[in-house]
Amino acid sequence: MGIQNKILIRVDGVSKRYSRGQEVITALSDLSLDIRKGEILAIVGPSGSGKTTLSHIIGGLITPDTGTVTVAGQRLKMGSDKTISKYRNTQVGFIFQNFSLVPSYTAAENVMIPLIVANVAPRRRRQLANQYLSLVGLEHRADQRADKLSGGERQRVSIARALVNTPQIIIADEPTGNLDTARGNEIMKILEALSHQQGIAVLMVTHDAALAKRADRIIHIRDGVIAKESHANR
Amino acid sequence: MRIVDYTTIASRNLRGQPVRTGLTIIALVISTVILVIMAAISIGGKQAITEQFGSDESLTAITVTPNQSNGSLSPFGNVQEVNSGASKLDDAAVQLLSKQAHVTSSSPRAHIWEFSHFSVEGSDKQFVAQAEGVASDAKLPLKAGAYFHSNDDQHVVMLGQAYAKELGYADNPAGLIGKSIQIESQKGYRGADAAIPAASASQQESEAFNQSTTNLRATIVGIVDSGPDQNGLFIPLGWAHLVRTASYNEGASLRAVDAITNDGYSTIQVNVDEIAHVQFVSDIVEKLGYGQISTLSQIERLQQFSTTMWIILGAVALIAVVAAALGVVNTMLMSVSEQRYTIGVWRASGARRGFIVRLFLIEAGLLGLVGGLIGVGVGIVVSKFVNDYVNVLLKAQDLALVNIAVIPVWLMAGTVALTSLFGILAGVYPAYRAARQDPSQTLSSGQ
Repeated sequence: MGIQNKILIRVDGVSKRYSRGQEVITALSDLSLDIRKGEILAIVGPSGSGKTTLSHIIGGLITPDTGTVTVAGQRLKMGSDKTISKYRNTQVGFIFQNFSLVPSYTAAENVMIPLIVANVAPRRRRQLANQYLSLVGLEHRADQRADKLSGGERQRVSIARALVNTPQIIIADEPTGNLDTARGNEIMKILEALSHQQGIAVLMVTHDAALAKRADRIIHIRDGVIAKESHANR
Repeated sequence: MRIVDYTTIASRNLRGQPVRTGLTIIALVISTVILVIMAAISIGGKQAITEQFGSDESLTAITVTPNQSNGSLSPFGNVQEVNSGASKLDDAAVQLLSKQAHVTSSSPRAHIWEFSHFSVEGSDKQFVAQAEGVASDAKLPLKAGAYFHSNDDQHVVMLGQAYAKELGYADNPAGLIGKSIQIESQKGYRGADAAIPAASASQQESEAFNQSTTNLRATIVGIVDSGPDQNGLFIPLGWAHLVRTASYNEGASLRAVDAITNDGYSTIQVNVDEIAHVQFVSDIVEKLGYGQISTLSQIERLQQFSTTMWIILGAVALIAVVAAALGVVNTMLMSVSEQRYTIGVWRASGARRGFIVRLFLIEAGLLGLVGGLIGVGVGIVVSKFVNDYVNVLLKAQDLALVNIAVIPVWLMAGTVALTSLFGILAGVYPAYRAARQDPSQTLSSGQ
């Protein structure tokens, strides 16, 4: 399917400040960018540059102080818990460095979390969980508790959960940060396949320059603003 | 989301922390057991009062007293105000009362102050004589034997069941019928069978008489059953007149003073046709210038007292439940703290704040529900032990067996509903705290 020219998400003039005691920290300052369907966009930058804040604003986890986020032509009502929760449930899939699994739940139960929120019937939930675990090669580990899985397996469960509600964008924050090179490579292959074969946009936050080079586009953030934008050299 | 999903997730969260959940439930169980037992004893106590005193005959009985003031029953004793205008209870009063509407019988009683103590043939035991003269129509419940004959002035007695038990005749009270009883009078007794000193008696002889007692003999004809009269010694009214008539030698003549005729009877027992008319007759008795005490009013007072105790005990139990609910608050706050990351995962997956609130409210409510259910179950077992123990004590005193702790279905259901409600209320603050968490921060900070 490949990268399409159609803009999926438009971030326009977004700013975000945090207070830490008396100190006010500017995480993002009047930042704008577009994300297209089917592209892998890497956001790189040093710690504290604002890349995670940006990804969380795009994912609807943080409300910006100023600016707007438009998804498929619809401006997100960031202040509405109902709207933003539905957006997270139906259009966004999160993958975190620390896997973000509930350790006492099984792999299948972790995958079913967005389906429970979406009020999908129990039998259908189980079918979909098995289907997406199969997609990441973990159908045989469906009933294993998450805390009994290896790091690579956990991240694959995390990917299955991110995909189960067929989102338009996957936000991956350091998706291979806790994995060895081989396991990290596996995860990247899955993300590349999702992006290029299914047209899902992938926003990948990373420190890893080698990983960033596998993206279609790289945005360098420094001090809350875009310092540089580069395209893949493939 | 469906309630079954909330319940499944909440119960999983609780099972994920078995020690903390278990300790919280134990606290809830203890407070619930206290609540259930307190309520059960209050309810059972009320029923027992009615059952113990509430036979149809005793409930329709009114004790008429000469005092205008009513007897006041309290756990701290009776208080009676002296009334100088007290109406005398004489035969005219007995007749007057018997003619009142709804009155089926009117029977006088006279305390016998002249008797000191008594013993029964074949036993060395001596008992304080709490004797009363009663008419032949006195409605005393008999365990064995028969009533006196009308106007009987023979030396016969009816003995309370408590004495039969003390004498070893608890299971065979009829064995006492026909036995003789020896009654010793107070010193200086001047009634029937007393050796009254002559008018010419010296001061020394008179003083010796004042220090002497008289032995009276009688035959047991009946045994009065357990109940309010089980400690009594009853003699016929005719003999009571003779005993209470003091004689004095004054020269050639013998002057006799009948204390019952002079002062009147101690009480008159009035029986009413229906319980519904007891209050009506009580009012008439008071209008006639007499005092009255009815078993019904005593039961009502006891029940009022029982209700007051219920409120006090209930308040204590409620404090215990509130303390346990505070334990639930603490547990839920810990749960919220420990599940920060899980809450973040749910929120990132699209769960709304309301979802998180409901989830934690159901988790807290489940704690209350389980604690309440187990507490009621344990309460039922404890109440059975309480009933068994009390009945062993009652049986030892040959009293009717009662269930002092009663747990009706409404109490079980109400208690479980109450503990569940308290659990939910205890979960409100932790639930809102959970819902207000910033998922971005919790997910970024890791597990």
